[in-house]
Amino acid sequence: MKKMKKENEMETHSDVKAKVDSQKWFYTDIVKDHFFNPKNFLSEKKANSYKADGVGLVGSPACGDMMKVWIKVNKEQDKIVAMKWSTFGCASAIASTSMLSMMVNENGGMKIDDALKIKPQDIVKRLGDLPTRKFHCSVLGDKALRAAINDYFRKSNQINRMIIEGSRLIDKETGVTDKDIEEAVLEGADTLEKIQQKLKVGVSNKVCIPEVEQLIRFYKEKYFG
Amino acid sequence: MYKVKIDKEKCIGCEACVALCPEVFEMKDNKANAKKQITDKKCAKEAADSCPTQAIIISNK
Repeated sequence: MKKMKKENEMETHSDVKAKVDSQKWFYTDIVKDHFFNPKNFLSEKKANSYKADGVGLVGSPACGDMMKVWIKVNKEQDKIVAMKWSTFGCASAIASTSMLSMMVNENGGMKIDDALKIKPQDIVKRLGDLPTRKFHCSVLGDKALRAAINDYFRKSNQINRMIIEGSRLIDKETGVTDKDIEEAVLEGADTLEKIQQKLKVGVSNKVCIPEVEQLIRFYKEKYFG
Repeated sequence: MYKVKIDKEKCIGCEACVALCPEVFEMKDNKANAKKQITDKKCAKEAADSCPTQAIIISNK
């Protein structure tokens, strides 16, 4: 009975309807509210002067979206006291990151360890649900927050706390990964000197230099032939 | 029981499947990878439904 009611509701209130297979999508009022009135959004103009302790940028070029997260940290309490974000993403990415920022910022901030435990499922639950096919959009904000926390760990010399997923740690003193080197090469640092200027990789921990040089060669080949 | 297959060409590495069903999916070289080809986990089906490019193919076994 309850299920039928839900289906009826979707019949009349569907927000998106596909022309081909008349598949209907339904967004909750909470999702719509966060999409139309995003919380903690940081505009491009203000971003330059925003003093953050950690910045994270992620995105999937295949999707054409990108997500940037800024955090301010209270070092004594090990707490994120402010999270801001900006994105070129879809409605669901905007709504879920807005909700994520609210979850982190509420009650005066969130302990870093607790913030690292937030899962995309928790965000979707607080939004009252998301269309299944849009679930992946909530992963983006979560990933960007993790990247921002990692950035804070790196800047505050807590390399051992960094969580590195899907990339390999190259220099355990600076916390530089193969992904960092890939990004630096893409930004034009094509020699060991330029990479070191940017990332300080292997400046004191010289053992990793051969590996760094090999990676520079590999990524140069990959992207610039 | 479900049979799990991933079309690596379609996968864009958004990690939705890993978030929903870490028992079955993992990331490998920025693409999804099935840790188990055959599973009874319901979340594998959820992951397939959530995949934005429909790169996960689930069939009953």
